[in-house]
Amino acid sequence: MTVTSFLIFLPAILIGSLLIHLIWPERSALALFLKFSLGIGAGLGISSILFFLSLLIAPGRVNMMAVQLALLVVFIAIVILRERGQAWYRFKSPTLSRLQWGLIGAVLLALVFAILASVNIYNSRPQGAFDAWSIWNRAARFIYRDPQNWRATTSPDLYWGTHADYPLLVPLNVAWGWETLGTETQRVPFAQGLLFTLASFGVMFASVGLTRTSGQASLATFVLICTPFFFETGIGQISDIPVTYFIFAACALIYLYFQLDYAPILMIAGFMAGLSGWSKNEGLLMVAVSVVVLAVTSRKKMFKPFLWYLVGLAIPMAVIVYFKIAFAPPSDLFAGSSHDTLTKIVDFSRYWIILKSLGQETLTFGGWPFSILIGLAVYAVVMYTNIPSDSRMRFFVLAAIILLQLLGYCAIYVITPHDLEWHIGTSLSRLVLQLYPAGVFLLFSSILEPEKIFAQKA
Amino acid sequence: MTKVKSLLPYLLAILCLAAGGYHLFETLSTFKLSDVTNEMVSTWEVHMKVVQAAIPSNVFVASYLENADIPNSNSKYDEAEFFLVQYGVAPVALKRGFGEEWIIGNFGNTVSLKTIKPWLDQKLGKYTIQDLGFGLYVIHDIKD
Repeated sequence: MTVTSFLIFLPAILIGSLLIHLIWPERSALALFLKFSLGIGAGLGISSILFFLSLLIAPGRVNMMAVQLALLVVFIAIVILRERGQAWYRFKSPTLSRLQWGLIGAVLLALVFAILASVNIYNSRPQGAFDAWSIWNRAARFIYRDPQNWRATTSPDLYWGTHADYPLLVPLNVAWGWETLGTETQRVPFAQGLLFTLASFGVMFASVGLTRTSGQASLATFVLICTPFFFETGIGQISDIPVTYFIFAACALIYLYFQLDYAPILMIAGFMAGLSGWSKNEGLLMVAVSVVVLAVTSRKKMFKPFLWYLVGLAIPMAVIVYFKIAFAPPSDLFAGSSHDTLTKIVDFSRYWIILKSLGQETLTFGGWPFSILIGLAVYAVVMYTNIPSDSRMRFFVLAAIILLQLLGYCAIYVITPHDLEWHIGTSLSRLVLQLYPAGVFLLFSSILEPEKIFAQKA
Repeated sequence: MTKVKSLLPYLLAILCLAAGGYHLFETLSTFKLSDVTNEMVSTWEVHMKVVQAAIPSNVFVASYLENADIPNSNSKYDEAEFFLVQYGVAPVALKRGFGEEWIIGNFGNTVSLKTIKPWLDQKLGKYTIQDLGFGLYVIHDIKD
């Protein structure tokens, strides 16, 4: 059952990978690895959208596996047609130094540690984290147990704490996974969570590898793998790692666009940003923030690439907008009156509480025995190198997206109708987590890589 | 400074491996080899199957009562148990209090049916009640 719980997602992953390959036909080993890692998320996003559309058109039991296999055959045919006569013979596996092999080996060892830890956690907590069964798998059960009446998962009769307004990427995949296997096994949400977690590591390694070196990519991936909170959240069967993954993937692709100057990459970035909004409401903030930052940037010779980004956003955003307008009840976060909201905005004690909590989170984030955020800051200071003028744009664009996203989270805390300390206590670490991989990526894409240090030493 | 720089990537890698190994060791100490019988949600799931079977399949919304709702009760509302019941009885949406034809009572083992009956008699009039064990009841409000 465990293996089949993973295998059912394979057609979706292949569809996602092939779609990305069609948009971005780069054939280097790292690019292919990046496209496969991106394909995991894109494929799971596509499968959830397909299932959502099928439920809209004909509510009831759907054989999603057959739908996906048919689509996969179409994609394989298109890719084969396009790849005929392409220069695959030029493909070479990368040549790595002993230092690079050593670091990659150590990363793989850390990955084995993390996977063993995750299996142990799953065995002792098969139903996942609190939010898994109170929100995400609850929604999946509503859809799987009564697909004809699937809209009940967004019923206004549901208690606000079940968050019936949350988007459905994760529950829809779990529901069709159960349908495919014919049983409500917890291994399906576990498998989906683990896939998003592993895909995040893949995106980190390949994207830092493309922007810098394999050694630098290994270090960045190391930091992510060895952050216990990241792995625990990933296998907790909740949507925080999917939204983290999509935010990170969009950020990494935006950065890569500026480096490679290949506009269709922005279409994939837009698609990923859109899927972040289909995973969790925080992703909608990512959509807004990235559009604003790219729109401001687009004034400087990138209007057309910006359009690519909007094209990528279009399908997931259309689904989200329709879901929000037609089905989702109002969010609990905007339940307060405008007078209450204004009172909170001018209450400066709230800002102090938020700042203090952010400070504390900086010290304790991630479940490390020491402050990883301060550790990384020290590492960045020591390994600082002048950012070349041609790299500055991408650095500032990504830094602006991360900073504005963080400010957006803080703004929600300012106006939240819930008790502020309770709200911060139950969510801040996960919000910081959502920006953590993008931050680690930016840091390791901007500082001195180990290969250069050893070259200087020699 | 160059020496510090050349050592730092190694230090970072060693710290990461040590942290990863330490985390694995920590989780191993709580490893229970698929023994989930003591896990709270799985335990509730067993009881919720009985509750689900007691509610007709055409019911989409049910009321939810618990100890804190009983008059003069010193109990506090247990939100976690509400979520556990909601998760178990999906796709039925739960609403706190009376009001729906079908009511799930989650009163725990400390409250007897004798204690809650006068209160239910007063609130509902004609009704049937099924005692499902584990302090769980399914009440059918028979409206005239």
